[in-house]
Amino acid sequence: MTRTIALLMILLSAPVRADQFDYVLGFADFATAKADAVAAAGGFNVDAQDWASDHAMSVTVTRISTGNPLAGYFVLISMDRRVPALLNHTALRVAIDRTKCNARQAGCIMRSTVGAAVLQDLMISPVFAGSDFPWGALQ
Amino acid sequence: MTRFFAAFLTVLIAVAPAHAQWGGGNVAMLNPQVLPANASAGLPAVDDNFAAGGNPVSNGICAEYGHQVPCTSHYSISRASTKYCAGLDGIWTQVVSSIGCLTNQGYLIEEARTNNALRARDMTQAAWVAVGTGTALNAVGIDGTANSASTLTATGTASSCTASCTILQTLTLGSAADTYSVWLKRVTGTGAVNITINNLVGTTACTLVTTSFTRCSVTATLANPVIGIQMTALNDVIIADVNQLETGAFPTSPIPTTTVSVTRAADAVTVSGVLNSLLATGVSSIFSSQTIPGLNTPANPSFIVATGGGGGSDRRFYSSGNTTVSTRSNDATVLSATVGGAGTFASGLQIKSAIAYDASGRSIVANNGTLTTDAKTFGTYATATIGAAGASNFLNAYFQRNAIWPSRLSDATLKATTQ
Repeated sequence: MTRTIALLMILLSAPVRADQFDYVLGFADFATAKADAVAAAGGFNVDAQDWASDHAMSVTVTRISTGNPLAGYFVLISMDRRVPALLNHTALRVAIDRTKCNARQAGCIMRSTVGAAVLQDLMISPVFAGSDFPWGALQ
Repeated sequence: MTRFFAAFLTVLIAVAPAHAQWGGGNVAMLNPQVLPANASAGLPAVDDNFAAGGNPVSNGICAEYGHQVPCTSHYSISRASTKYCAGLDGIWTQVVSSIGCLTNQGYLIEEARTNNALRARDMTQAAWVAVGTGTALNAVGIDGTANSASTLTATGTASSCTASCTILQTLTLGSAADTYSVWLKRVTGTGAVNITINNLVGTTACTLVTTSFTRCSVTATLANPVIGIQMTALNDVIIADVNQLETGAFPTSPIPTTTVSVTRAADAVTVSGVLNSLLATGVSSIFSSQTIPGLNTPANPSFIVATGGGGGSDRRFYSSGNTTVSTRSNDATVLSATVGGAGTFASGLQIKSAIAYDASGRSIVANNGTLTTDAKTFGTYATATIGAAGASNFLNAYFQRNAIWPSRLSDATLKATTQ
């Protein structure tokens, strides 16, 4: 009985780990992104000007090799769960499992619609605090 | 004995999941309800003391109707990033995403900010250009971690640096009101230490001590800021930690960076449970207290906000200036009261404020100042939050206490709660 209680107490006091999933969507421009049905339905929009700043923001995607940003408008939406509507969105460029990427584990990239060579030449800025992505080696 | 353990386990299991969503610390079994100082009314129905859970990061002590409940019973938070908050000892502690950042200073609720300064802690990196300044990543930082902060030594030579040893970083940004801040601590020497946001065109003097970090900051509207530190006496040694260039009129909690800019997401804290039920009634009295860090000057920080539903512009409780608290009724009429004594929302002092309302009207008071009252009422609402009004008016401060009575306290009693 004592050992059971001790085991339960250890399990219940284990450090908290919050999984986080980062979805980068690319659109032609800001207006198109704000008009997107998934963004509108998912609570990512606050109003016509702002994203919900607790989990969404504009980002720049840059090719590391050239230092040039990609054309278009990009938004990073971060959720504490896998969201199929985002994962399967036609505008999705890359979906990152933050916990696995930080740990350099397999499965870091949940889905990408850019080729492997491009993926490993991308840098996203800014990222949400708590991200430690292996730029140049995303896979 | 077995029944005792069974009961103990039941309580433990019931409470644990809530802890897991709130913070990593343990909840001390303190008296869950304590009247705000000098209150002569009965116990509040809800009494949430965010600062009572201990230090470093804690869960706070929340209570309803005389018994302790997990604070997750009254609040849920969304935040897609880690963040730091500090205890009264000045040590900053990090929490993971979607965990409230609570210390013995309270619940730090802030807007989103981006630190555009790269290698914020490691000034040995190429992002920094040092002239007559030696660098080493070997100091204990603001989070108490060894080898996390940079030691800077004024090593100037006769030809390059005798009175102005500098370390600077150039940023490419559009024009905006930006704030550069950095935590500094003196190791040896007495020479002046300055910071700059405009490539030394102007400098801001910093007063350093050897016993603790001092946050030094400067705000300016400009494009392409050049930030950094200037030492003026040869062989002086200081420690620098978390250089931060953020768009905004004041600095917020530290956001470490490495190779790219990093954003601390906003804290979106939503009210739920019994607390939400009490707010939804047309009769309540609310006491709350906050402390805004000394460097901050937030714009109209919100305390408790209820929006949507039948009260589209219903904003129950907020600051409308550095020295006033306000409440907005269902028809958008604002009632304000001046903070008593020398209290100001930018001073770093604790502000205690309270409102009470029923079908006959409302009253508001802060820090035992002059109470004001009118006959306006509040409507129904869809969502209640603390520390922000949607995407704006963030508290950017430590929320310490939130107590609610299910009745309208007398004006005299209400005022007494804020002494």
